[in-house]
This record gives sequence, C-alpha cells and structure tokens, in this order.
Amino acid sequence: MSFEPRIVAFLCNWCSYGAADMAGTSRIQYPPNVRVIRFMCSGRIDPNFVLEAFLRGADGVMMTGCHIGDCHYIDGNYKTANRYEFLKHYLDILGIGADRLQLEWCSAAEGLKFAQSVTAFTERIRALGPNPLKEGGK
Amino acid sequence: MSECFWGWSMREDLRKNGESGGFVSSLIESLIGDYDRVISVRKTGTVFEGKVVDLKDSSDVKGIQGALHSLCINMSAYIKKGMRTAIVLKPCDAKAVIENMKRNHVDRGDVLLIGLNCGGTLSPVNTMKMLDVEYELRPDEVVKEEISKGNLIFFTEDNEFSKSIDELEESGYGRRESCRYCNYKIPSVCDIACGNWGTPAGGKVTFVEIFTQKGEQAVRSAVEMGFVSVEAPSEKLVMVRSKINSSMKKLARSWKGKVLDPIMELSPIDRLNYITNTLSPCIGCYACRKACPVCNCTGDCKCLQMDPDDVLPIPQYHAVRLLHLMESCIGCGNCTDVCPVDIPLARLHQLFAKAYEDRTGYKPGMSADDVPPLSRGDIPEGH
Amino acid sequence: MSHRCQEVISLKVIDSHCPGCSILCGLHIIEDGDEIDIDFQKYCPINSGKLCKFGIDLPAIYKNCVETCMVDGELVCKDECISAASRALKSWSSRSKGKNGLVLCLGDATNEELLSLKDFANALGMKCSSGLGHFVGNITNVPLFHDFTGFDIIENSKNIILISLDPYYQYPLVARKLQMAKERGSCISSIGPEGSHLETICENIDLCRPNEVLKRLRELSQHVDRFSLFITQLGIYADPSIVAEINNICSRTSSRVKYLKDYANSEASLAMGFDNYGKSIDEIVSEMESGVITALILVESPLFDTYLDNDRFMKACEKLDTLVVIQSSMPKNLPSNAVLVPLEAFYRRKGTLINVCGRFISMGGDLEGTPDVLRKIMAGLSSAPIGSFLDLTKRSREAYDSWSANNIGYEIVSVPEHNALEGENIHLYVTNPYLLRGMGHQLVKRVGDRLYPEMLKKERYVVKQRVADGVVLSYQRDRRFKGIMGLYE
Repeated sequence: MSFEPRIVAFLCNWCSYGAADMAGTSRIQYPPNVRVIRFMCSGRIDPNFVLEAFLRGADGVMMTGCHIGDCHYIDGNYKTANRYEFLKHYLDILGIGADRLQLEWCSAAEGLKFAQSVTAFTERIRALGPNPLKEGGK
Repeated sequence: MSECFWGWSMREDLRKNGESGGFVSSLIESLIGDYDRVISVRKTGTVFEGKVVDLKDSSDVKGIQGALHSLCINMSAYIKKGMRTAIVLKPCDAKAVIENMKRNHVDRGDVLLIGLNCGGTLSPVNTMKMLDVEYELRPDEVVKEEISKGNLIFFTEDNEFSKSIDELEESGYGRRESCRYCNYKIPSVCDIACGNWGTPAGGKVTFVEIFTQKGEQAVRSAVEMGFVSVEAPSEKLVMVRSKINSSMKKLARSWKGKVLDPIMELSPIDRLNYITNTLSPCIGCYACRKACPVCNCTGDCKCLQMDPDDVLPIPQYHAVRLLHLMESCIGCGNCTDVCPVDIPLARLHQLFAKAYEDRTGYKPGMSADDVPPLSRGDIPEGH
Repeated sequence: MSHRCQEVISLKVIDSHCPGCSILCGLHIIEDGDEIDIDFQKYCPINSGKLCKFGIDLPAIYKNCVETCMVDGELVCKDECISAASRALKSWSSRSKGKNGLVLCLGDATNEELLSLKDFANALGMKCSSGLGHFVGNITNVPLFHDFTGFDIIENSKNIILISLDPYYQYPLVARKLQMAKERGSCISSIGPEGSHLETICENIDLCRPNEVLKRLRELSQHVDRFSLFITQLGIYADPSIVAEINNICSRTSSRVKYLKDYANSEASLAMGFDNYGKSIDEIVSEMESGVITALILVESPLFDTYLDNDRFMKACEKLDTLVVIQSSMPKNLPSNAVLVPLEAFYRRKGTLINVCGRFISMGGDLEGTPDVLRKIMAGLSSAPIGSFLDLTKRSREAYDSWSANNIGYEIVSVPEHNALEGENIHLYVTNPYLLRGMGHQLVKRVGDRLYPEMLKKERYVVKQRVADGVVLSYQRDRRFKGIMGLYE
C-alpha cells in the first residue's frame, strides 16, 4: 500500500485560513493530506500541540501565520517564529527530524502560495516516509 | 572581577574539626541574624547522612557539613521568595538558583550564595555499597571523604584509603553520572566560592574566591567581627587550583564523549527508539518534576494535565519536559536519583540541553540576565 | 527593595518515613510555617530516596489533618472530646458485662503507640485487633512477619513468582528490584490479573481471575525450588487460602515468600503481640452488627472512607454503644455516635517502627501521639496509667529482639476454604492502589476502555454500587482508595 502522508496544519484565522479558503474558492488544486485546525493567531500554537500531533502519529506538521509585521495581535507571529526555530532543534535531537515541521507565512490573499506550500510540504513528507514514532508504537 | 584568599575559622573547635579550617562554618555563623535564614547541611549520622538546617544561633553551627559530596540535596528548593537567605550550595544548585531568578522565584538581592567547589557528588546508597565492596570499610568508620587528583579518598579516624575515580567509575561506582560530565566545578555565579583546591597540604585553610561586592562585604564583616581570618594565597597554589579546575573539566569532556556523544551520534531513528525505550517504564509518579530545581511550577502546571493513561509512544509529560528543559536543564541529576523505576532522565535532558548548547552557545544558569536565544521576543534570523 | 516577610518563620526539616506501606521509604518532611513539603532522603538504604506517587503526594495527605474534635456530630474543643471519650468508655466498662470491646489499629502507628494501646485495652478489658489477626488465628506458624532478608533477596532469586501483584503501580520500588533481578538473569512470572508494564519484567504472564489463582498456584508448585521467591501482598483483605497455599509450597520446596503489607507498621502489630483477637475485618464488622462487639476504639484506621461497603460499615458503627475514633486524617464520613479525637500527623510523632524487611527504624518527630492521648483519656478513668514513652520504647525494643530471634520455619498448614465465590459475570479486583491517589477514576477509565466500555461513561461510584450489590466475586481492598484497579469479565 502506498504511503499517504497525514499532515496536521495549524492555521491562523486572520490570514492563512483565509488563504486556504481562497485557494478553495479559486479552485486551486492542492493535496487532500492536510487536516486543518484553525487558531485565532499562530501565536496560540503551543509547542505542545505540535508535539501531540507527532505523538499521535502525524507525519508532518505545518504552522502558518501572517507575515512578520502583519499580525492581527501585533507580535503574535514573533512568538511563532521563535517557537518554530526551537521546535526544529528539538525535533532534530529527538530524532523525528526538523524536516517534518514547516512554518509558512501567508496572507489571506495568498491562496496560491498556500496551495503551493501545502503541495511542496506533502511531497517532502511523502519522500521522508511515515512518522518514525508510528512504526514501533500503535 | 574576583579576589582570592585563604581563609580559616577563628573558632578553635571549628578550625580543628571543620572541613578545611572551618571557614564556611564560621562565615555562616557570622551571618546569623543578618539574614532571615542561614541554610546549610548538618550531619545526622555517618558522612552519608544529613539534612538541611536553618541555623538560628552559634550552637547550631557545629556538625555543619561543608562538602556535600555524598548527600546530593537540592539546596535551591530551600530558598523561599521574600526570605533573605544565606545558603551554602554546590555549583549545580547555584545554577538552579540563577534559573529561578529568571523565573522570578528568587530575588537576587535577597540571597547570599556561598558556593562550594565540586568535583562531583556521590549517590549515598551506591557509595555505601562501594565502601563495602571496594574499600572494605563500614560507613560509620568514615569521618570524611574527598575527591583529589583523580582519586576518591575516604578518611577514617587514623587512616586514609584512596582509589582512582576512573577505575571506580568503570565498575559502576564513583560519582553520579550527571556529575561525571558536568563541567561547572567552581560556582562563579555565587557571591563566594570556597573549596580546598589550591590550599597547602594539611594547611587547614579554605581557598575563597569572591565574585561580588556582596560576597566581599560578607567576608569583610566576618573578618572584622573576628569570626574568620584571611590571607593572600600563594601565586603557585592559585595556579594549582586553576589547573585542578581545568583537569576536572577535561575529565568531564571525556565523560561527555562516553555518555552523551554516542547517543547523539546514533541515526535519528535509532536515537528516537533509544529515547522511546528509555522512557517506556515511566509510571507517571511525577517524582522527577518534584525533584527538578528548575522546572517545577506550582498550580495549573501543563505537565500535570496530561492524561497519564493516554498511551503514546513517548509519554507526553516527558515530551513536554524534554522541550521545556532543553534550554534550562542545568544537569544536576536529581531526576535520575529520584526515579522509582530508574530511568536515566538526567541523561536524556542533558542530551537535549547539551546539543542545544552546542548549537546556540547558550548555557543555562550562568547569569540571571541571560535570556535564552529564542525567548527574547525578537524575530529570529531568516524570518 | 524586595518585599520582606514580617515574621521570620523557621524552617524545620524532619527525618521521616512514608506511611504508605510497610516498606517505609525514607524521606524528609519540610515544615515551613503552615506549608508542608517533602524532600528526598537519598541516603535511606530502603529506597535510596526514591518515592512512589503516594510519597510525592504526602504533603496533601498531611494537610488533611483532623483539626476539629467531634462528639455526637457536634464540634467541640479538644479537652471536651477527650473527656467525652473518657466518660463514654467509663460508662461502657461499667455496663459491659460479658460484652466485647475492641481496639482496632490497622498499623499507621509506632511500636510505642501499639504497646500503649495494648495496655489501654488491657486496663479496660478490651481486645486488640490489627485486621491481620485471622492469618495468625487460622494459619499457625506462617512466617508472615519473620522474614529479615531485606529486598536483596529479590535481586538474588533465580525464579520469582508474582501473585496478584502489579508491581509498577503498587510498589515501584519492588519493580526496580525486579528489573535488576531480570538483568541478572532471573526468570520472573506473574499469576493473577493484568498489571501495567508486566510484560517488561515478566517472562511468563499467566492472566487469570482472582478465584483461579489458587488453582494455578497448585499447578505451579511442581516447578519451584529453593531459589524461587513468591511475592504477594498481605493486606487486611488478602485471601487466607492463598497465603496458606504459598506457605505450604514454601515448606515443601524450601522456596521463599515476601509479603508486602499495606500499612506503615503492619509488621510490628504482630511483633508487639498486638493482635489478640484473631479475626478479620469482615468478621469484626459482622460482630459489630450482631452486637458481640459493643465498643470500638478505632486508631488510625480510616475505615469510614475505605471500607468498600461503606454503608454497611457506617450502620454497624451506629449500632455500637461506644465509638471512639483517634485519627490524624480527617474522615469524610463519620457516624453520628462517634467521638473524634485528633492525633498528630504521622510525621510529627516520635517512636520506632518495623519495616517489611524486619528492620527496626525510628521516626524523627517529637510528639508522642497516641500514648499522650490515651494518658489524658485514662486520667478520667482511674485505672492503671500508660507508662512513660521511654519505657514504651524499651519494651518495644525488647519485643522486637525476642520476636526477631524467634525464627519460625515454614510448616505445612491446612488450607482454609477458598473464599472467592464462583462467578456470575464480573470479577472486580481491587489491589492496594495507595500510590494512585487522585488517579483513581482515570485508571478505571483506562481499564474500562479496554475491557468494559460502558464503564467509561460511568463514574466510580457506579462501579462501587455493583460491589455493594454483590456482583463482585473476589477482591482485595484497600483503605486509601475505593477505586478499582483491574476489572475482569
């Protein structure tokens, strides 16, 4: 059976959620592998949510937020950026691999960018294979 | 800025019986009354048994155990916010206090940290076993223990027994694992650091290094009040001290190479499996959290809200703790000590912390003003 | 300028032992004003400083101490409740012709306290019970309390058989030893209900219902030898037939047994010759119901909260002529006729204890506890007074010495009738889950999820209801927690 990545995407309500919406209404094709979870701000994405997604078997996790400077709450995405860098270190040391986490800035108008990054990330995860935590456990 | 002295107690009994001339005992005696709490450790039986005491008057000072080699008590837990506290502690405790200052659990102005140089601590029960097996001594015969020139020395009333630490550690005894690769031997974050490195043989003096004005003031007033006496150390022995320090650090590096590096060098999948398997016996008692001097917040702690029965490949409690401690684990080893199912937790936390340190250059517990690189609130590079 | 406390409170660190079970792990209690905290006592040879969930939660337990005194459901001051107890016992002893009075102490008491209780009971013509008496009554010469081998025997046994034991949840410190034994090449097997992480330490896991354990044990007896060690729990609800059977196997094959006990000083209740009543808790409750026992002094026996059939116990208590409760933890339920006399928290008392390895150890507190309370009660009774504390310590040392010198071997005994009833549809198995305080219902959820889905939706008391309905066929119970550890269909 071929491997279909399961990707959890944490989307910011004010930008990338709109972008995903726009991608839909503009009929832009992107892979159906993402499971979208909407947040009021990407700054609300607790690193713990990312960990839990991986522990529960997500093959990749995507965080998306507004471009730096455009945060609806002024500096929420600064935190996102820092947490992303921190999580990348962590996942690397843990052995899951930083490649399985992706941060993308994308405004509500960038439906195409959203679709493209989802596509690229899905392909990357497909190449990486399933989440190593799944093989032993489950 | 730092100043070095040789110091000793002016009290005859302490000078004779105290560790290295009883300097620390007399110094803290001089602080009683100035501080709400003066905290140290007192022997309650053999040199392996002791408990923390809050000194209230001069008569309490007798029996204070300066070197904490085989007690490994987390002293930082005894500092309470709002209490002016003078405390005797080892380097990892001092780092813990600094981390607690960052978390606003301790005010710098409230505490006087009297650090003790530390070449490593011993787990008491394991050490008593080692005494029996390797040294053929009974715990109650031992009056003092010391780490010197790569040897672990036990003193009885009229004799001393020395063995190479390396050999002991190869056979599973010796220092605790986290102490073996700890490279912080002289607690420079304290106000004062005391120890017997760089003292003349049989000199009954303590080598005192003063780092802050507060430390200087404490020593000066102790001298003025006639509790202690100090003199300038010989150049040669100051050199000896820093040599001991650097050779201890070298040893620590080689132990890191033996303990942590092999795990880091595993392939990501193997490393993940190693971590998963190591954590699998966890029973969710949260003793490691209780023992941790850094990450033990009260109230609605995130760690405690995980469902302990949720069967995940890595307990989420540990996944979060590994993450939180990546930038703040000071490597004290308390978590390993208290784990009822013997998970080498300190090794895992240090694996993350050391790798993070290598990448970012950030060391926790070194200054209360340091903020970890990714917690500064600015925009990280590349965004 | 930092905020300074107005009042400088001294910090007090007390050497103590965890009252969670008879392993008696060492720990420090930190008293900082009103705050109570623990610190690890890493030099303690018993546990190297390690504690289980219960030990970590001790501050919460010690905080729940009795602060109010109660007489007939009304709050009174301490002097008043002591004089009420004194009056009640006095009038009982003048009316008690031919009726029984019982002092019941399950074991969270020091040797000195046990001896003082014994003296007190003698003076009033009462009997003493530890809830373990029926093991001595029915099964003679079982070396239940005569094992001085320490825990090293676990590491050194080649063949270890766990009987109805869930070491990781019940006794993590034993689990550690088992793991070491496994590393040394021991073969570890388990008989009984499912446990957590059993697969990580056991080579053979024989999952069976509690009422099948005896049969499996008999089948197994061919395969044990003098390098074998049985480990099981001996609580107040342990099955005497299993205990007797293990004893017989040990006698025939020279194998050994390690009984882990529920209460801090269970070991001493027999060393001190405390139990002279020889009945089990269930028998005692029926005697209370039938009026054989008319006066009960409950000392550190929180049965109101932990006796599984709560209502039955409460009703039995209400039938009593006199009920005096001397205890340190505040009971949730209290019968209306009870006189509640407060006792200091366990860690604040001084005295000596005997742990599961037969070691004589001392407590670091400075208060006398029960002897002090009893002396005050005695003052109003004008009978023989309780001896001085020093005297009690001396006597307990003597009792310990003669008990430890008297090494009884294993002898063949007759196995009492197996009291596990044969089944309808559910077996409920409740082991000593002291370390799961506060985690109880989550565990039910976990077990329920796997074995009995609708339990997931129900609360713990529903399960208990089933117990009260008599659906439960075989169980062990514990004082601290009424929840359920394993559920079997």
